[in-house]
Amino acid sequence: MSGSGEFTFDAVAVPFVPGDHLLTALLRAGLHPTGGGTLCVEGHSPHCVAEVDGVAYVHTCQTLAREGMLVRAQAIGDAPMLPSTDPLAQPVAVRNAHHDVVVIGGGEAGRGAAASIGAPIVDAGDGGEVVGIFPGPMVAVRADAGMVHTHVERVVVATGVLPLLPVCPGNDLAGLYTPKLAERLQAAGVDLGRTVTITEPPQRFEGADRVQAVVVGDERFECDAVIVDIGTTPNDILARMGAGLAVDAVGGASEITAPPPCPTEGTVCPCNETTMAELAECWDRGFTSMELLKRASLAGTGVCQGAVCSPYLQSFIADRTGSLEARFTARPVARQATLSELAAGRHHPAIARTTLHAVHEAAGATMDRFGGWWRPWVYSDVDAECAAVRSAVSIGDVGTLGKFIVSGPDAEAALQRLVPTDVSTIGPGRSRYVLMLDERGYVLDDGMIMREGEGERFFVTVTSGGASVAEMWVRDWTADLDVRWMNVTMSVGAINVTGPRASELLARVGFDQPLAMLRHVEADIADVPCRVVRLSFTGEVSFELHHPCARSAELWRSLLDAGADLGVVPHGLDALSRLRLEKGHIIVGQDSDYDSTPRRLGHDWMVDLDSGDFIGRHAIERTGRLPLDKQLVGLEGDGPPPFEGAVVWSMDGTYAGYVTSAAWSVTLGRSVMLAWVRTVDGMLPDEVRVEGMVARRAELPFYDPEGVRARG
Amino acid sequence: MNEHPEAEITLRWNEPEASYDVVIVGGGGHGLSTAYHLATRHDITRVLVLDAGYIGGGNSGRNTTVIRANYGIPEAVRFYQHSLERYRRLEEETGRSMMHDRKGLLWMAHSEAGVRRERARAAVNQAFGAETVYLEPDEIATTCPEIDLACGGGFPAVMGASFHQGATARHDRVVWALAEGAMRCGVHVAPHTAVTGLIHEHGRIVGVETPAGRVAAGTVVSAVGGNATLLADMAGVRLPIKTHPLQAFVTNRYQRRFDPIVASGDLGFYVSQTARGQMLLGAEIDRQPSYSRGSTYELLASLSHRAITVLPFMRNLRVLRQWTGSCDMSPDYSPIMGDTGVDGFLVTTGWGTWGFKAIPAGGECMAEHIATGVAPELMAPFSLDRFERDRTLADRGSSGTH
Amino acid sequence: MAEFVVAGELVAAVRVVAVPEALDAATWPADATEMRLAPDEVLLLDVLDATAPEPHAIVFPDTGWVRFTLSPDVGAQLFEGAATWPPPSLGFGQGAIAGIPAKVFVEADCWSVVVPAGLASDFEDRLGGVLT
Repeated sequence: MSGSGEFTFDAVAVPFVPGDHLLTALLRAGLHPTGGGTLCVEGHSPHCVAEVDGVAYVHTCQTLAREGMLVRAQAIGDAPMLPSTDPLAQPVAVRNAHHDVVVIGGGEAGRGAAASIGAPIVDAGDGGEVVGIFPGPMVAVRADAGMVHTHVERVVVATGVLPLLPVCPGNDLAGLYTPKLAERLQAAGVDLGRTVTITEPPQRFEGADRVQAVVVGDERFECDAVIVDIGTTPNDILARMGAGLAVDAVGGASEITAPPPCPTEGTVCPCNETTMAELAECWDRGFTSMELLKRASLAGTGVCQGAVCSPYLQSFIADRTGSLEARFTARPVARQATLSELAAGRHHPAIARTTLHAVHEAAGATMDRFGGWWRPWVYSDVDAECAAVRSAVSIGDVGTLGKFIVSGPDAEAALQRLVPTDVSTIGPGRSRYVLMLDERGYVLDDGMIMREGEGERFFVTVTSGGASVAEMWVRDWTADLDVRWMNVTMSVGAINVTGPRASELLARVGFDQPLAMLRHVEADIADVPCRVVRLSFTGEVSFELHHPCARSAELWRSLLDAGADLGVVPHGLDALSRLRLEKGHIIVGQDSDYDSTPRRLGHDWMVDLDSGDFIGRHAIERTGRLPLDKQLVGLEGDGPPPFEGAVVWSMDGTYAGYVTSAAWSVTLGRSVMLAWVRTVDGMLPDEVRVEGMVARRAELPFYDPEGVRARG
Repeated sequence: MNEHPEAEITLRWNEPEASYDVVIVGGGGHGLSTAYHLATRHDITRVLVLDAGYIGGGNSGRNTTVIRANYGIPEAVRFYQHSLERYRRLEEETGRSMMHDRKGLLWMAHSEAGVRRERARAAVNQAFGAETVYLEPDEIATTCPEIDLACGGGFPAVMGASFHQGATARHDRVVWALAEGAMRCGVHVAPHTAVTGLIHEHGRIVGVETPAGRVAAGTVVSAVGGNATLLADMAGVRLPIKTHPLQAFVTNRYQRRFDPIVASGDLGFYVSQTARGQMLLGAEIDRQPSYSRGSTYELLASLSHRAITVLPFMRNLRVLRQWTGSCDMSPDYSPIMGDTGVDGFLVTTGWGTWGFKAIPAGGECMAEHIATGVAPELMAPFSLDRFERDRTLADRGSSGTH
Repeated sequence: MAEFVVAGELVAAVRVVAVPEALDAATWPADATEMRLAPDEVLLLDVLDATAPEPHAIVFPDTGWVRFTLSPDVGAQLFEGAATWPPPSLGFGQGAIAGIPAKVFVEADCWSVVVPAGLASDFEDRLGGVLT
């Protein structure tokens, strides 16, 4: 509990005593937070909001006074300024709690419900404010000490009733209080002067700034303060917010009560200062339902979200239609919280690191996010990295590949279903580059299938970042088969050893057996157990070394040490991307688009229509009979490479497509590109223009078309 | 303080009559824009617009009101650029303020992959009249000094693309002004009237069934959001649409100051300040298809987190209200407009996260198509049969967040 | 309070995927900590190998996990601050902790939290944020 002290309200020092809410102290000092309007203690009336320590729209009736608080008045209708500087990032604590049932509301109904079912109470009036009930169900509470997230099976809403605030001329004067507030003020020793309690809706309040008299019926009462005791309305925002969730309302919050008499004059929505006359005008202009009336008049769209005005909107409509329309939809939030409070405990999606991350950083690599992984983009000189691959040997971290072990009597059948190739012809110790299609025949991913041993066991790799989607996809499509999938993406490290001297390097670290293209074998390399896969993405002799990821750094170091005199250096993603581009290899997601069939990608050679009923087969067969509208093609030009994404123009100046990959090929002495190019009358153009440069359509691959180098 | 110009708009409702030339199912922006253009451009006024709820209560009232044209293929850039230009004239044409506010759109990238995406988009925008400028980080700071260029240290901005013509408008006003304009010409609008069936005759659709009775129609147009596939199913048309939820929230009101619209593709976040002064935040669609309009804490928390990462000045702003809309997503991320292969039944759907900005052009095109029987050039590429003909329009410019 | 620092350690483990019935019936080395990740998948900590419970089972010596060993107090504090799911009173549970997929094994005097090695560094940073 806070002690005595002072806070400032605008420039005024306001003293407070222990237990004072800001509102109590302000009223004791003869101040009103917003100048006027009926005040309550429920955190609903917008008349008590103020900016507190840099946070606007804070209910002073809910906020305990503390020494040195900076409170600024916020006049109703005058929106505050946006902060001109960044507030300090103050960490907000989050506490997660778990219960079977919680009761919201510490009133009579709440205490009763809690006692009968033995559930704890979340009391909105006890320093915590219930922000909302969310799917889970989860009850989010904002408190000065931080956020409390209570995860439950069921919620009982026992928030009782709210006092009706009066709607009549003069209802924006100071000196109007609900009975509960008056009680609190009197208990706190605040002198309210001459008070009058009214128990039926008044005709009007009179006064200049403060109330001086109230007229009820034919009677006029002079006073300094009016205690407005004119009835209640269900406090059901949380109950309505919980519709469709395991949420029950009890007590006053659950009752359907007749709305109050429809007022004829005065401000009905204090948050937006909508008057009864404006409601009537909107109605007369055709806004004749609760939601339209709200949206047109703005009544109910302010800080109290209709808690004050919705009973009156109901009576307004009932007066005109004779039927009681439901209140408008209740959505979060019920009580407000700041973005900092709501963001408490949150993190951006974690970006995975291979076990070589520290090694890359130590080597000075620029790291970047790709497909959910941190990857080395470049170490220091991309040209030197490319040159090492083309003329000596280089190593690259490909541990980010999605990787699966597949086993079971139906393993082959499962893969047969997933890829448009004849898996039965992938023999033991062999591997094949494959596409994965969706039902529309569009390319989802690409990868390698390797058959292990003689049995029904395979190792499958997919694109980096594709693993989590691929896992859901393959499990969904093969759930009826006798097959086991193990996702080993994060467990298996992979290093690509590539370049004309790759075999020589591997021989130095213990691997000297001949291994033909697209074959794989188990072997110890530098004492690390590896699966050695002979393939090529760069266009040079390449070996992928799959190994336990805990030993990546050791293997990496051994390769660098053993190949120092061969000129071995690591290459990053930028170099890899350029090298594979020279070979015309696509990167799914970069070169492919949402509607890329294998034919559009120029990869229809990867589709074997004799290989059974693979996913996408029917679409491929159907669209394969139609003329082609666009294709991913190779382009080359003599000028500098365009940026990736540059528009491709046909020679007559019409749009032809866009570049997906581009680089200057040091090896070839020209720019090489992959680009989407549209057909004209079924034909692809031979020449196009990119960034002002004439680019010629080129057969792929650009580099070593015979594949002599990769075969070694 | 209250502006209440809504009070200038007058809406008049009708009970459905027995027969119309055109019945439009869905009283949102697209349905009402189609009716408006039928009446004002083609003198077709025997038109009924039906809605299961109140008008503008679906995605038209749940979107985040961004008007932009920076999409990823020429067909889309042309279409949205036309729509954007129509929006600029719509206030004058209808005589109603829509709080149209051109404030510019700043799109940031925080990775090489993001840069590639934004540069590609900027290039095709630039080529087709949607002026887009490439910004270096220091220029981002000039354009929007509130941005933390380091994004908390974790996501330094690498580049930005500035689309100067980016704008916002108040969604309800757009819906109401089009409704009023159509009603003035004699179009009937019947809210709270659900379509429960379609009437088939000799292989064509000749009307709709409602709880209030049958309504005959020369043409039935589905301008439904969220339930588009269910209505099309009644006509025997299978739409390649999946519906995903999209959530958003607003803060309380503040003095208007914050320009432009700021978006980050890498963080999946965008924000603008509305004409009423609220900061309006949106994210990407939920991955899981669903018709749910429930609001999750997950979204509230993670979007708040992303927002204050980019714009730390928002840390102490309080959230006012959260809501959810439904996005009808096509496989190529482009809309679907026009004939369906079933006579008498047309659709305008696949509006994903880009429906609001397409309201003027979408309605204009649909109206011309209905009136002339020929799809205008601007919308012709977006026909449903493009999937059958394998003439899909993959649009990577749609894959952003709004 | 001082910032709480916990370092993760690579853990010896074997992961097994097999038909659920075979995993139900299988017996593992006595010193293994058994985490049943899914009906068809089990993660065994502190062992280097395991016998295949059926002919097509995948038995995979797995070096891709990092273990954080916490006292019960700290474990409870971690859950309270960073998990939306309740910790198991004893034994195995799994879900996101501080936004990272985690496996937890609760014993009377010690809680093991295991995360993929590729996310361990992020997890360690986030632990520091929660346990202060």
